[in-house]
Parts: sequence; C-alpha cells; structure tokens
Amino acid sequence: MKMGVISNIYFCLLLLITAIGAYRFLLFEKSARLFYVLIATGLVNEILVRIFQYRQVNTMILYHFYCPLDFILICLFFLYSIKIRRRIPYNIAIFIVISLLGYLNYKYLQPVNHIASNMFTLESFSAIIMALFALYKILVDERIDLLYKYANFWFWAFSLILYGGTFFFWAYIIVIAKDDHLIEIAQNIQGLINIFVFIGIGFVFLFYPKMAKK
Amino acid sequence: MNPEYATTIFIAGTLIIILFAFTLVLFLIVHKKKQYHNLLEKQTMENNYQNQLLLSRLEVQEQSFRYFSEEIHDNIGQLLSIVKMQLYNIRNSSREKEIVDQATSSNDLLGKAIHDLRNISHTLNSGFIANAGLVDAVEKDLEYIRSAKGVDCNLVVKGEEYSIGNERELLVFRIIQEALGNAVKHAGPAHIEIGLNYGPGSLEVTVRDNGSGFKPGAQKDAGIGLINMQVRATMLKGELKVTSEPEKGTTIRLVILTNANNPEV
Repeated sequence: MKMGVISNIYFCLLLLITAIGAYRFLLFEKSARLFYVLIATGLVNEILVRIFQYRQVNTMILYHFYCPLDFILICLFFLYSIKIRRRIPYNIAIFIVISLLGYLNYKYLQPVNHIASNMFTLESFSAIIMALFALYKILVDERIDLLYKYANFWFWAFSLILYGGTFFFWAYIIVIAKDDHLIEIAQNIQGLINIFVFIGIGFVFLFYPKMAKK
Repeated sequence: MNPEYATTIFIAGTLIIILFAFTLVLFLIVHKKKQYHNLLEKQTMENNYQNQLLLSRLEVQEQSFRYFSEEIHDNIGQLLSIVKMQLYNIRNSSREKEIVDQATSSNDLLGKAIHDLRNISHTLNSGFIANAGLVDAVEKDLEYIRSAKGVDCNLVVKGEEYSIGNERELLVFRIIQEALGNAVKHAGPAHIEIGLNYGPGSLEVTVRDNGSGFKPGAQKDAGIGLINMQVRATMLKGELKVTSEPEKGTTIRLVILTNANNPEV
C-alpha cells in the first residue's frame, strides 16, 4: 500500500476521533481529557506538517516542538490516570526535564534539519514503561472487575501498542534504515499500527458514557 | 548489519510487541474477572458466616430469655408469693399498729414487685407472646416500663389487628423491646410512643421517643442493639430505618410485607 494512502486514512481518522472526543469532552474525567489533548495535539501537528509540505518548508522543526509536548502530555496522562500520590509537583518537574531534554537534543544532537528521533525513541520507551506499570497496577488491584469497561485500561493498552510500534520504528530508523525503500516499509507498518490504534481510541471516546470512569 | 536481516528483525519486533500487548490485555481481562469473582465468593462466604453467627447469638439470647422467664415465674415468683402470704399473715395476726402498717406497706410493695416481675417474665417468654398476640405483649412491656422506669408510654394501633405468625410476631416484638430498652437506657425520654399500623399488605411499626437522641454511628453501645434489630428485620425480610438527631429524639420504623389474603405467610 502506498504511504500516501495510509497517511491520508490516518489523517482522516485523526480528524474523526478529535471530533468525537470534542463531542464527549465534557463527560471526560481529567486523565481522559489529557489523553484527548494528546490526540488533538497530534492533529494540529499533522495539519501544520501538511501546510509546511504544501509550502515546501522543512517540517523537521515542527517535530522538535511536537515531540517534547507529546512526551509531557503522555507523562501527565499516566500520572493522572494511575493516580500516584503526589508529594512533589511532578507535573512541573516533568515539564522542566522534558523541555530541557528537547532543547539539548535540538541544540547539540539533532538540530533543525534533523528529525527529533532521539526524543521520539525516549518518549516511546518511557510510554511503554508507564503503560506496563499502569497495567501492573491493575493486576494487583482487587477491586476492579469488568476491565473492558474501564476507559483508562483501553487508553493504557492502546498506548502500549502505539508506543511499542513507535519505539521499534524509531530504533530502526536511527540504527539501520538508511535508504528510502526501507524507511517506506517501516512507515507503512507504523501507519497501519496507528490506524488500528486510533480506531480503537475512537470507539473508547464514542462509548465513553457507558464506561466506568474510575 | 545486513539491511534485509535488520528489516526482518524490525517487523518481527513490532509484531512481537503487538502480540504481547494483545496477550497482556486478554490475560488481564480474564484474570481480573476471575479474581473479582473469587473476591465476591469470599465476601459472600464471610457474610454468610457473620449472619450464621448473628442468628446463633439471637437463638442463644432467646433461650436465655426463656430460661430467665421460667426462673422468674417458677422460682423467684413463687418465693415472693410465699413471702407475701406470710406478710399478710403477720399483718392479720399482729395487734401492734406499727407492725401492721409496715407489713401492709411491705405487702403492697411486694405486690407491685411481683406484678412487675410477672410482666418481665411474660415479655421474656416466647410462648406467652405467641398466645397473647403482639398488641397485648407490647402492652405488657409498656406497663412494666411505666411502672418500673416511670416513663410515660402509649401504644397506638391503627387498622384491624391480625396475626402475622408466631415466629414473625416474636421477631417484631423483640425489635420493639430492643428499641424500648435502648431508649430507656440511653436516651432518658419522658415519653415513648409505639405505633402499630396494620395495613392490607404490610405492617408498619414505629417506636418514637423524645429523649436525647444521638448522632447516627456515634454510639457504640446502641450499635449492638441496632445490629440485633437489623438482623431481626432481615429475618423478617423487612425494612428498618433509624432516624435520630441529638436532643430531638429517635424514631425507629420497621415495615414488613404481609400477604393480604394470608398475613401469616
């Protein structure tokens, strides 16, 4: 399948999910709202990328902003959804550390003409660890019964799939794939994973009122 | 590294992590369902055990009541009656005015004590309650409270009285008795009103006092009495509600369903 087709399907799906999420937004609890903002940020980034491409401007700079923002949002989502007892303002610490990492990566490792693959890889790895931790917390919690009715459970599961795929994708791009053909294969696989995950997230947004919130 | 080999590793790695995520999700759903069912089963068993324990306690209490009732009636009551007869004889045989007066006074007091004891004996005896019926049994208990505790009480019966079966009447009576006991012991009321409302499909019982009241959940002693009442209400498949406010008295309301055609069922 051509990358353009997958990319367009993904873009349309992103638009649809953002619309469904906006429709349900007032019903969302705090963590679900953060997850929605994460999706909406992805859409904004995708729109900007398309505008930049249309105007034939280098899109790499966008990812240097988008990736740290995405990283901060996914961390905050897990922080709120796992409900860790906060003795220190983690959210501020997360914001400062990730912004600093993003800046250092931009300044010294991957400047404006490079994509921020280091940050994407780090973000994916961190998200996988957080998703696994969240699922472990469910495993040891005796109170939960019908797990498939919990919106956060699905957000964690889809995050694991999405960021699992993303991690392999960026690791592959950084370490091995140097020619366009191999990169296209990787992008196709990554695109299909994204489509699958976003369909799932769309269903969770759609059926959110019937799901257990806590 | 050979690019083709690396691509295979990439595809395999991606597939493995997706498969892992799917397996994990499936495992968690099944495992949590099983875990939750086990938890529910454990809770049900614990609840059943607690209920059995409470039932046994109530049975033991009922046996003790019967024992005390028989002891009061057959032993203490008989002895006091003999003492009363002897006092009567002393009064009649004596010519000294002071002795006659004291014997008369003692005789009257003893008569009152025997009367109160008989009331206690009756209200403790399940057989008497079955024979007398709920209304008379409650009247007896109120008579004792009026006489021994000096609390003004009255019984208001609405509707035509019918039997709801000996066992159920005994349970209702014990709830009223517990409520009265709690009120007299803890609330110090000036007045207690008992209401028995015989409806076509239900019996509503209210025990209302104007005592000190309490903040629900604050009194540990009253808590045990309330638990006993709740257990009995559960045995009656009825609904028991306690409302109270400090300095505003307490109302206990019990509603049990009765079969309009056959109230004993």
